[in-house]
Amino acid sequence: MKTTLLYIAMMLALVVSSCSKILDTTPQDFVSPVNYYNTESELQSALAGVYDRLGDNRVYSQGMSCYMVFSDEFFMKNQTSGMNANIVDASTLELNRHWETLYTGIERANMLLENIDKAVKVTVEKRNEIKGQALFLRAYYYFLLADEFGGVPLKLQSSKSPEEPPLPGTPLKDLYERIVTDMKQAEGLVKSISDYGYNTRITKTTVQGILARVYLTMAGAPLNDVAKYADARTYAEKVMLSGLHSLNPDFKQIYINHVQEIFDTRESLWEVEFKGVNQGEIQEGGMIGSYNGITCGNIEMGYGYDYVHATAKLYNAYANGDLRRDWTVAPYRYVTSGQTAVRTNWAADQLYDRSNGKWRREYELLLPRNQNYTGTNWPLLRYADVLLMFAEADNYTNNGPSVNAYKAINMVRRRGYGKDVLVPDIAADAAANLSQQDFLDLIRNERLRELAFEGIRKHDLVRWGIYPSVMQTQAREYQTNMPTALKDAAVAQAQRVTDRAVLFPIPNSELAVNPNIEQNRGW
Amino acid sequence: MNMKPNLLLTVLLVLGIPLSILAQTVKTITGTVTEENGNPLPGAKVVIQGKTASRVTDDQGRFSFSNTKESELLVVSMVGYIGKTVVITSQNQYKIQLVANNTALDDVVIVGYGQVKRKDLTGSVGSVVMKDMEKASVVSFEDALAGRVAGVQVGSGDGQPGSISNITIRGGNSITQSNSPLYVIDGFPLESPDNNTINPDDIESIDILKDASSTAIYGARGANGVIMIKTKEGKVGAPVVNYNNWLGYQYPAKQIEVMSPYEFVKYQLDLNKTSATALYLKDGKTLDAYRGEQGINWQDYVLQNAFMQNHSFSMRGGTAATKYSVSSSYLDQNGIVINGGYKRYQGRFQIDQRLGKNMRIGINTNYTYGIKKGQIANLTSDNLNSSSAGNASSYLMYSTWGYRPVTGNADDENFLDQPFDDDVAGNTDLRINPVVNSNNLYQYAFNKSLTTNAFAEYAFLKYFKFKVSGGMTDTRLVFERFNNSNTAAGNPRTVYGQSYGINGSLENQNIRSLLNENLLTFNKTFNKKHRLDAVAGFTMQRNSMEGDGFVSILLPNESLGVRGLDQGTILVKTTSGTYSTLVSFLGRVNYTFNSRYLFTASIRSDGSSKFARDNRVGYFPSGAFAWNIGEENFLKSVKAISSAKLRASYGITGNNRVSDFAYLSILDQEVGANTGNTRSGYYFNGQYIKGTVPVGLGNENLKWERTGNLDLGIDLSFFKQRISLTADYYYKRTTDLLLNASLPTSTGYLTAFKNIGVVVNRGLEFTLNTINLRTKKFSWTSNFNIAFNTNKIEELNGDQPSLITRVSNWNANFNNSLPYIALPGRPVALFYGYVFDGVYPLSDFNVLSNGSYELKPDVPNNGSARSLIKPGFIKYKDVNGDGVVDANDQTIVGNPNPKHIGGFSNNFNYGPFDLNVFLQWSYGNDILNANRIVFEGAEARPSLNMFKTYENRWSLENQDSNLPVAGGYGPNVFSDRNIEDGSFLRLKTVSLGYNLSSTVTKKLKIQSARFNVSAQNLITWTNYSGLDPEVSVRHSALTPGFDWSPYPRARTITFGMNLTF
Repeated sequence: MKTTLLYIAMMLALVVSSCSKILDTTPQDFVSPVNYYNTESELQSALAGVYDRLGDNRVYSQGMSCYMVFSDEFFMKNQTSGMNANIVDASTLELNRHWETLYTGIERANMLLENIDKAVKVTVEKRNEIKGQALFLRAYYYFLLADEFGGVPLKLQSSKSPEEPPLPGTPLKDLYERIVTDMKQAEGLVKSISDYGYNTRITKTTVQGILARVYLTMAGAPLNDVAKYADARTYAEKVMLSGLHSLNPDFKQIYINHVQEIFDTRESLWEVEFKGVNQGEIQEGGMIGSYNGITCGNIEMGYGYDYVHATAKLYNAYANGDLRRDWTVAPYRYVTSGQTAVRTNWAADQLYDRSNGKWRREYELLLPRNQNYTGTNWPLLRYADVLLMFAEADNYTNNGPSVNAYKAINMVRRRGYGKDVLVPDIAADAAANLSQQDFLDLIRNERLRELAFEGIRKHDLVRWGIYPSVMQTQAREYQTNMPTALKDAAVAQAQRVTDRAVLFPIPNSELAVNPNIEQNRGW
Repeated sequence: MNMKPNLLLTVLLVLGIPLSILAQTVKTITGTVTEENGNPLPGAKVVIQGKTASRVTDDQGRFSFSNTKESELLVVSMVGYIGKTVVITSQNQYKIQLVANNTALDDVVIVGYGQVKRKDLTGSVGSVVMKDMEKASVVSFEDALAGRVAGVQVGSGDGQPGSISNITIRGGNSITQSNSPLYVIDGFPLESPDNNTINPDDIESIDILKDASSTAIYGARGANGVIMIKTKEGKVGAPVVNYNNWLGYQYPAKQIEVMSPYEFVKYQLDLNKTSATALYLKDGKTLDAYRGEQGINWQDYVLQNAFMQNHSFSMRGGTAATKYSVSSSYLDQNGIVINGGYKRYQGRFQIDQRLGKNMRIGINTNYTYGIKKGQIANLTSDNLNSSSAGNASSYLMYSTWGYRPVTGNADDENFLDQPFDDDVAGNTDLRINPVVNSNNLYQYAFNKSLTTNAFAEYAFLKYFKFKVSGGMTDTRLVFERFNNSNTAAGNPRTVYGQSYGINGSLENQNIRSLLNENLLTFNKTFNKKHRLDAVAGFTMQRNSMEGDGFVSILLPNESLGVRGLDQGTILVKTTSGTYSTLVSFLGRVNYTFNSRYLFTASIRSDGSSKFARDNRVGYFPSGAFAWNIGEENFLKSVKAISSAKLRASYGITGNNRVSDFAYLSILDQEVGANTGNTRSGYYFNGQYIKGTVPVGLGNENLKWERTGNLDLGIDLSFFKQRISLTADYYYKRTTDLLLNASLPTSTGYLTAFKNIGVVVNRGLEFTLNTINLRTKKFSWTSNFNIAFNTNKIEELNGDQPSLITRVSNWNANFNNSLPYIALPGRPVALFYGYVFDGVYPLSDFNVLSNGSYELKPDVPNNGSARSLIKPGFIKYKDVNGDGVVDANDQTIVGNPNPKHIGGFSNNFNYGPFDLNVFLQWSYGNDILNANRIVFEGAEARPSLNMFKTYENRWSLENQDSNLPVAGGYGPNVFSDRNIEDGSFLRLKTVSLGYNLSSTVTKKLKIQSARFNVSAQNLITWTNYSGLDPEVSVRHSALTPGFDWSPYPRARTITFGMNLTF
């Protein structure tokens, strides 16, 4: 019996000693951050994750091309519920996801930036190139957040534990200072667009162009730091002097290029790259052209949801001879019956029935088409925008338009009229000797004409401090002039843009668990 | 010598006359042991007091002894019966009747790592009365468990065959994690077994450990309670061969009435006169012409009466050295929804062999092959994997209720067979014919589950036993799906079909658990008064799961089905693997003094790989005291009381239901197609670079969740145990909750695990067993139980004031409305929403000069823009009185938690007949009936049929109605309009049996034969308007009681036969 006990005791001792070994488990189907960020391909893969957020549904694939950027250029046809109808509160799912998407982008960038120097085998030059892109993208995501939500938490370190105390909001001024600092640092790290030959990477002129946009934003509402006009002018000018960019002579070709996934690096400084129709393993298609395209009920022809409709204000903003009008505001739709769809023009007085016509699915090269998904790229920065930003900043800094400001705006206008951008043209050119205010008004309208449906209009109206007033005017205009069948929904959408709407509410997914942040005024 | 034997004995003892003096000559006696109704009782144990020889009755209940003397005592005992002592007289033949032991004080209760007699129990353990439960002809024991044991809440999500129930014992401790109990099947602890793999006929006993003194021995996994299942073993005696068979059919217990063709067309005209006129009033047809039309009630075509059969065969027996049990069963259940059902093939083998004097070894092996077929009713079917929402039209019941009853065309005949409703809105609003879709879907889930346990037990030093056991459960799940061109996911016109063409998928999962247990037990009685039994043990368990699978799209040969997947474009769906280990030491001591004072103390230490090194080990102690107060003299004299026991216990239990590596941060590359929002890579110049991104934030500090559990109980029985009552009060406080806590999303993460939050559950439980009537011919016994639980959050994620929860995957329009709220001071889940206030009457409006209506300025809106609101539109209360109805007007509108639940089982015996009537209820819980939101006006899609109730909607002619006008549902929000009382009382089982008399069975050369007819879900009394009040299709602690496109509940009638040879 003693031997039995001894045997048991021995066995137990053996077992106990191996316990802690048994409990040391290692994950089998994911890696831990400590084991990653060593090789160039690992760094590139981490960087791709940072870029990825641009193409999310709640960023540029869908939301920021329409329902997140309600403005005077469009309304969402007969949409009466959800964010499609501009109904927003802190619990709105799209808004929560939007915020979360941007902050996951920031977290991804933080992780990469913290770990990148572990990759000692990767050359410093290569690391800098990657670091610059990540740094810029993080700053860009903060720029979007600041623009949409105001003084959001500024988090420059990756999360280490769920028990870290929640961050408070950052004063807007500090947030912008950091955005500018990071973008300027990135400017010195990233490469030139000519090194790539395509425009979906962050390059020097992209950084400069976006810096111009950031400075213009700081110069306007709500910061009204007018000293920044000069910086905006400087950075826009840097792009102009780089010699890398020029206007595409054919306005509509810009968008056909987007649809056909052709990179025009001269006109288009930075685009979100979408590809494919989400068929198969890699799903990187966007909804540009389907969600915000020309109405069409037939998939083979190129399906278009009947949502984003141009306003009469937009249509009427174009003078005769401005070729941009009938490209931007589609003069036709596809009338579908059964399996056929026929291209049918709108009558001259059907102003509110017209869709956004910029990205036309009939030009898609990848067939068969998919109902929802397209490979159409989304423009984030075009040279025309840079020229108009220059003109706007110059008009302020010189207390009126200089020759260079005129030159910049006229280039854009001449192209719009189908003219040579360098040859003066009576019909196309802006009236001479405009006052500072008149020139500013011209710029405001020119930006509407040139950049309509490119997701920038709301941003412009907000920084000019006129978003609520313009939208309330629109609501009255819809009430008076819109056909009955369209009116109710559109009026309600525009009416919802009250003073509080210059900022979105801080979403519940932040607010509910962050006692250190305050809800935006009015929400 | 005609005195009663007991009295004689007493007299003899009092006189102090040595028994041996009276002893007569040695003789042989024989006897039979029977039940009260005369049926023989095989397997009863008969001993002569003071002697070692013992007998077990044979299949005829017979026994015999050769060397007996008069005045010796025959002691007859059998589990489930009240033991009897008979004095040997001059007679040589004895007929001994045993009375079934309703109170079961001598019943053995299976507890963790051991078993005790109920009367020696210190903890709170509920036992299922198996002979009642066996009366229900069910696929899985889970289907019959509801209402059997006080405090055990069992709910199935809906009526889907082969689905798994949600079982909660004494209220849920956890907010975000699973509250399901630990299952210990023949000693093998498993956290989430598929209980469909157990043949209910194989089950010997089900005991439910509820308080800490009984669950703490399972330490880190005991906090949610433990369900102990023991399968039948062989018994000493001749082989007992049993064949149990039932055949039956099931039919839908209820249909929801939808609109008739006339009502439907009328509604369409109300909704949109122009388009409805074009569709339905073609060629001069009038609305009235639809009055006579029958139309198609799609429920008649999608639902069916379904056949069901079960054959179960067993052979059990043994000798003193060898006991064996073999059983095998086949079950085939057709679904009451077409093209679906569940099938099971099962076999079990068990052997227990004695080797020499001290050694015992055994093996218990079960293999089950289960096949589930058909679409999951409450998930969309137009998807490659049903985890994400697709087109609402492909929810089974949505398409069945909503598909229109008439087309308006003269020739309607093909409508039943056309896959799509072409007249309706084309591609933007594709409608799928539910019959065609269901018939063409190929969705199978195969479950191959092997369980095997082996043990060796060695007895030594008289009081010690050492037992080593090893076991494995190995479950292989295979999911096969195929979407042909007539399905919602494979037709080129649908969103998925467009992208993927004809498609299909195969997925394998392998879930394995390995177990080793080493137990040392000690059992000794000292000086007749002190009984000590103790167990100490060491166990190791490893759980792992591996998965892989692929999707194949654009398949060229539709006819090949799932075996032709190799011809398409293959996409990786998943390859995954994870595992965890658990190493534990345990110990327990039971000490009984004088059968009156019972003490139990136990401790377990668990080391789990789920936590970081410093936090791995947790200690879970418990202590209990019970006082058999009935044994005390002052109560012994009270004749009415036959036994009384007071119990008290306290202990700490844990919960480790977190993912295997929750303490680590996770970097992952995007996974394959169609798996949600994980597109983390990016194209650069047409070249794709996969993204590697952080997807989970680890928490190095994670540790065990702890539940302190106090139980105070009393067991009383009266009048010779004719009435027995068990009552328990419990208080459970769970701290350091393993909470999948919401993080501020500025962290870059939505949630991560934290030990935070406090939840309290407390309640009362009563179980009453009574013998209401007992005459020679007739008896009526009953079991009644009721449980009251209140659940309260004391603290939620630090300062987080509330947690509101969305119900995902039901209707994208409602994504911005969150119908559940968790608040400190309140139960874990409450319904949250707007307060319904009828509809806007005409008096709320000013009439404008052009005849249109404008809401009066002092009348609040309903969440929609004021300009959109017309008379008859839905109205909500402006709760905060700010003149505007918006998200701030949401409030608590219902409580999904029942006030009490229970069951009432009755057995009637009359001669050869027996009748079991079992009632089960839930009282005071609310249900969110989302079907009624959609089908009473909210989903104003053209040509979507509505529930018949919506016929009574508001209109200028019907201004008294509370139902919104056509198209007047307003914003997509939840309100108390759709919260309904979900209380119900269900006649769950009625079973009438007939036992062939022994004269007939003798002629037929069989031992016994019983025939029965039984019914499940015969009647449900409820005010709930949906298909069935036992519903929770998105079940979690935070989202109980949500009803959306449920699989209809079946009513089942079976005819059974049980033959023993």
